[in-house]
Amino acid sequence: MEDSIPKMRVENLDVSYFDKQALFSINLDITKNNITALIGPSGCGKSTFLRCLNRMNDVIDGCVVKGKVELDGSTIYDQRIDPVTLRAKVGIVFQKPNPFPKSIYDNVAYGPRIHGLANTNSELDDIVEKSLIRAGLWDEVKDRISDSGTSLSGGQQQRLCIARAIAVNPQVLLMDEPCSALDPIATARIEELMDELRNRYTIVIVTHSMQQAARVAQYTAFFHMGYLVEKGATEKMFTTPDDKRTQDYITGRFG
Amino acid sequence: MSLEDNNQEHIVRSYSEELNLLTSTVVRMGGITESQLNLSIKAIENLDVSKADLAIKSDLELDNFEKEIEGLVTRLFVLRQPMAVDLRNVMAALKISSDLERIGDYAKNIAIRSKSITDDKVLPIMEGLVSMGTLASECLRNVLDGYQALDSEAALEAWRKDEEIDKLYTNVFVEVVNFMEKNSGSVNSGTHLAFIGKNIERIGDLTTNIAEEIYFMVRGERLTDDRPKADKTATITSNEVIND
Amino acid sequence: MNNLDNNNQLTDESPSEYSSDRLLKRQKKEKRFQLLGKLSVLASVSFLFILFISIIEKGSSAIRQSEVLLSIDLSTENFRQEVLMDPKKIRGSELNKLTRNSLIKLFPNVQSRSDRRMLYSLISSGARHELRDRIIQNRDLIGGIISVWLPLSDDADMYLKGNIKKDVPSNLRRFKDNQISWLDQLMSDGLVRKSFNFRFFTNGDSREPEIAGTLGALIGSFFTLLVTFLISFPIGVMAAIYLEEFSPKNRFTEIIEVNINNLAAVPSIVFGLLGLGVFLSFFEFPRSAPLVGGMVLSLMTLPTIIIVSRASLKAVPGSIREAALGLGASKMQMVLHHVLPLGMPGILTGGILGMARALGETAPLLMIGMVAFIVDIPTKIDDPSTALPVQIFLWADSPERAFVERTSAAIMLLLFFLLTMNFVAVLLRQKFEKRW
Repeated sequence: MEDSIPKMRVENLDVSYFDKQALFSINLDITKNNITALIGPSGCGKSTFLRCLNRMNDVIDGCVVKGKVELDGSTIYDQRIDPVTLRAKVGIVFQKPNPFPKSIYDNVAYGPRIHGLANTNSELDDIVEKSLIRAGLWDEVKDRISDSGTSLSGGQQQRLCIARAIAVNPQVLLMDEPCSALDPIATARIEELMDELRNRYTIVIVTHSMQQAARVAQYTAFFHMGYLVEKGATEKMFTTPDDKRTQDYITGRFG
Repeated sequence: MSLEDNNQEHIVRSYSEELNLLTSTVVRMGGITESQLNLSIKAIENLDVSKADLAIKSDLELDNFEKEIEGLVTRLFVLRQPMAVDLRNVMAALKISSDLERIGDYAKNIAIRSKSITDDKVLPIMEGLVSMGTLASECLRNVLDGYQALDSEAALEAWRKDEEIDKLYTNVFVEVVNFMEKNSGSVNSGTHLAFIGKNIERIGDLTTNIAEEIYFMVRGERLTDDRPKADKTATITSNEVIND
Repeated sequence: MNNLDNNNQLTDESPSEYSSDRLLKRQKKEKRFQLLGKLSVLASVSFLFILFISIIEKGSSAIRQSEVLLSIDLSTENFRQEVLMDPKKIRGSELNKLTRNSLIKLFPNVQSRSDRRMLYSLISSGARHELRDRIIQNRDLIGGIISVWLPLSDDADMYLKGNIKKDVPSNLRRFKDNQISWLDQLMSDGLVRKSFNFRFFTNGDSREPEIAGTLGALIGSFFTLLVTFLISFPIGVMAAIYLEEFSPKNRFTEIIEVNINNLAAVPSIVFGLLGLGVFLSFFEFPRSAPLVGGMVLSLMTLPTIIIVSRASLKAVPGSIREAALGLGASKMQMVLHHVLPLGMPGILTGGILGMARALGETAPLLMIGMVAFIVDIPTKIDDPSTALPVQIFLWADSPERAFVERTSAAIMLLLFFLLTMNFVAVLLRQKFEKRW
C-alpha cells in the first residue's frame, strides 16, 4: 500500500453509539484510484467505518467519533469543515437503490443544482448526460429522461444512484453493499462500471460477497467485532491471509 | 496464516466433507503410485516380468484417480468457491494428482523397458539404478506422508534429497555410457538403462514439485530457495566418460 | 434421526381419521367468529343508515317552500314623495299595507279586525323585505301593478306540507279553520305553488323559519375554518418538521411529545373555556367573531395536525433522507426538497380531516359567543357571526314547527361538507400515495 500516496488516511479511529463502542482504533490508508473493499461479518463495523469517511454518522443520534480521518492530508472531523461540502467530495451509494421519486434527469441534476455546479441549463444538461454516460446508463434512458427514476429496474436504479453521486464530481466514492439488492447480471454491470470508474475516482466498497471483493478490489480490509483485523492486497488476502479470523471468515468457518 | 492452525470445521459441513474426500483421494492415489513405483523397481532389480506387468496394469488405475480428483476439484470450485487455505488445498490436490499421474507414466515406462532388457550383462549396472529408484520411492513416500500430515518440513526434507538422486543419476549415466562403449553388442539394453535412469530422475523432479506444492499449501508461501540440482548428464562429453 | 422417526409415526396414522372431528369443530368455530364480525358490521352500518334516513326524511321537505302569487298595486299615490325620489327610504310598514290590500282584494268579505289579522298572517312577515329588495333593484316598478310570488307563513307552509292536520281540534292547532279555507281557495285559484327554497341558501338567520337561511352560518364557518387553517397548518407542520427531523431525542422532547398526544385528547369545551378566558377576557378580542372561533379551533386542531404530519413525515423512507444527505444536501434542503414534498399528501390529508373535525365542532364556539342570533351575513373575519353546527343547535332549540325540517336540512348541508372534505382527503391520499 505504500506505493502511492493515500487519498484518505484513517488513524486511531474510535466510534461509539451511546455507550456501545462500534469501532476500536482503526488505522487504514485508502489509496488513490483504487478500489478498497471492506469485508467482515454483519455488525463488524464496516458500514460504520464507511460512513465515517464522509461524516454520514453525524446525523445519527448518540454517535461519537474520535480519531483522525484525513482527505488529501487535511482532517475532515474539524469544526471548520462543513460536512455538506465534504459529502460533495466524498459521495456515497447505498445498499438499496434509493432514487428520488422524481424524473431521471432531476435525480442526476439534484446534486449539481444544490451545489451550483452549473450556471446554465445547457451546462446542467451536459453534466447530467456525462454522469449518465459514465454510469453506463445513458443509452438505456436517453429517450425517457423525464420518466420517474423509480420506474427503472433495480440495477438501473442503482446505476442511476451512481450517476447521481458522480454528478457532483466527487473524489472518493463510497459504496455500501451496492449490489446486495441486485440480480447477478445487474451486479456484473455494476462491477464492470466500478472498474471503469476507478480511473477517475477512489472507491471504497462494503460488501458481503467475498467473491465480489476479490473480483473488484485491489485492496481489502477485514473487520471483525469492531477491529480492523487485516488489510492488504486483495489477492494475498484471499489466498494467504495472515490472521486466523480472516481465514475463518473467508473460508466460511464462521459468519 | 498456515494450514496447521486450521482446526475449525466449515459452517457448511458438507464442504468440509468434500475437502476431506479430496485429500483422502489424493492420499490413496499417492499410495497406488508409490506401490507402482516399487513394483517397477522390483521389476528391474530382478528383471521380473510378472512385477513389470503388475506395474503396467496399475497405471490405468492412476488415470482414473486423476480424473476423479479433477471432478472433485471442479465440483468444489463451482459449488464452494474455496478461499485461502481451502483454495490452496484444492489447487495442491489438483496439481499433485497430475504430478502423480505423470510419475505413474514414468513408472510404467520403466516396467515396459524392464521387459525389453534380455541381456544378463547389464545386471551389475542395475544396482545403481535400483538404489536410485529406491531413493526416489522413499522421497515420494516422505512427501506423501507430509501431505497427509500437513507437514511442510517433511516435504522440505524430501525436496532436498532430490540432489542425491541427481548425483546418482549422473553416476549411472556415466556407467551406462562406459558399458556401451565396452559392449557394443548391448547397445539396445544400455539405451533402455539410460532411459530408465532418466525416468527415475524425472520422478525425483516431480516429487520435488509435489513437495513444493505441499509447502505452499501448508505455509501459504512459495519455496524461494533454488531447487537442488546435481544432474550434470546434459554436459557430459565422451572424453569425460573415457577419462572417468 | 429421532425427528424423522416421529414424523413417520405421525404419517402412519390415517390423516382423515386423525383430524376429521377436530377439523369440523375448528371450521364451526371459524364460522361463528366470522358471523359475529358480520353482525357487528351490520349493526354499525344500520345505525348510520337509520341516522341518515331520519335526517333525510325530516329534512328533505325543506327543499321546497310554499309561495303565493299576489298582484300588488304600486301606484305612485301609494308612496310618499320622499320614497319616489329614493326608493331606499321605503318603510316596511308601507309595503305591509300594500300586501295586505292585495290580500283584502282577493277576500273582500273578510271584515272583522281579528279575521283580517289572521288573513294577513298567511303571508310571511319577511315578504315585505323581498318586495323592498325588488323595488330598490328596479325602481321602474313604482307606478304599476306587479304580480309577485311571496313566501307563505311557516304555518301555512306546514299545513300545505301536511305537517298540520285538519282533524286536530281547531283550538289545539296554530293554523285555524278559516285560514285553511282561505288557503284552500287560493289553491283552487292556482295562486299557490311550492318552489325551490333558494332562501335557505341565500338568507341569513331569521326568527321566521320560512325566510331563515344558512348563508350567514356557512360564511361564518368558512371564515372560522380559514382562520383555523391559517393558524394551525403552518404552526402544526413546522412543529412536526422540527420534532421529527431536527430535535434531539431526549427527555425533554419526549415530554413534549407525550403532551402533544394528551392535548389531542382534551375535550373541545376546555379549549372553548380557554378561548373565553384568554382571547375574550384578557386580550379583549371581539365576541362572536370567526377570528376568535378560528383561534380556539386552531388550539384544538393543532395537536391533530402535528401528530398526523409527524406520522406522514416518518413514513418517508430513511433512504431518501440518506440519499439527499449523501449528495451533500443540508438538513434543511433535505427536508424542503424531499421529505416535505413526499410527506405533503399525508399532511394535507390529515389537515383536511382536522379541518373537517373543526367544521363540525360546536362546544368551543358556544363558549366564545358564536351562538348569538345574527341576521346579517358576515363579510369580515371579525364580524359577529355564527357557524353551521351552532346554527343547527340554535334551530333545534327553536319552538316553530317549521324549524324542525330546517334543522335537518342544515344537518344535511353540514354532512355534505364533511363528506366532501373526507372525500377530497381520500382522493389526495390515493393520488399521491407513493410506493417504495
